[in-house]
Amino acid sequence: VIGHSFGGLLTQIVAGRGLSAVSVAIDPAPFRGVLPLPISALKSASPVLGNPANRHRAVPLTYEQFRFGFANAVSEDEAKELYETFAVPASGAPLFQAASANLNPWTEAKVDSKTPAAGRC
Amino acid sequence: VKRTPALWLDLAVKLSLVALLAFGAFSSLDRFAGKAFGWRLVGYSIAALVVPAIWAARGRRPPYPFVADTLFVLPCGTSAVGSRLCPSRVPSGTSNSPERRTHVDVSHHRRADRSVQRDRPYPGRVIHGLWLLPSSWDRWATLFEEAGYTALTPGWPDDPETVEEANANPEVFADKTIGQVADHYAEVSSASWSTSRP
Repeated sequence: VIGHSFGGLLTQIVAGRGLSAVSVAIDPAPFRGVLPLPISALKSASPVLGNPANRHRAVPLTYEQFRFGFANAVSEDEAKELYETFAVPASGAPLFQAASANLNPWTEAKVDSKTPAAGRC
Repeated sequence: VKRTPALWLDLAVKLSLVALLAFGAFSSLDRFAGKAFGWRLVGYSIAALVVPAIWAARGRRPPYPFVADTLFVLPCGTSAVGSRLCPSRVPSGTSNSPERRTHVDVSHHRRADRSVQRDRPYPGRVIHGLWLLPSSWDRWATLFEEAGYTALTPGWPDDPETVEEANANPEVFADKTIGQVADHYAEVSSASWSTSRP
């Protein structure tokens, strides 16, 4: 199982439930217990976290936001093309959940990172 | 006691037996796992004392039966050396280190993998993150498929088919939580296992 960003977090959750043989989490969203918070992660999440009402909304990214968070290692033209081709709005809830993972005792953003059933990660 | 070659042979066999068993019992090497080296250390040491005990019980009459003693202990040594050389066939759970258990688990998966799907490796699943759809993995999925892997790109629950649909109806994304999506992927995983395994 391979996942990127929140897909990476989901990959780790699924692995923790013993459902994968091998997992690759690419730049995964943090789960409970992960304390470092890079500025760039905050900036990427700011389109959602900037407004508490976004928790229950679907939030789109502007091109500039997409350029910073996703298409940051390609040319301007390719970035625009990628934005047109692939970008869609997203649920605001997961970012609030990840942001509060270390504070909320009942958080869903948790991974059983110790289980031997997790396979190779 | 006279210092004959038989004495040294007997001593060498017994000492190396005890040393090997002690090493097996107290080292944490994988190949010793689950082979009862602790119990062997006790049992075989008692066996090594049987002939001397009989000899002592019968009045310690010389000469000491070195050859009989050596022959009596030798099978224990053979058994211990054999166990030392054979790789452990014990499945996970008996060894204590988590890394090792993880490793054993994976090899178990690989075995199942080989016997079930000879033509294709384990089906791979690729999971997208926020602001994207399964379509964002299309090029990677093609690459994996060309390399001989099965690449499934299951979406989040209620993911629209296309980017156009998603932009037309963004509200389908609203309020999807990590837990809901994780449960969805757990279901997808179980389903794909049951179809790909007999």
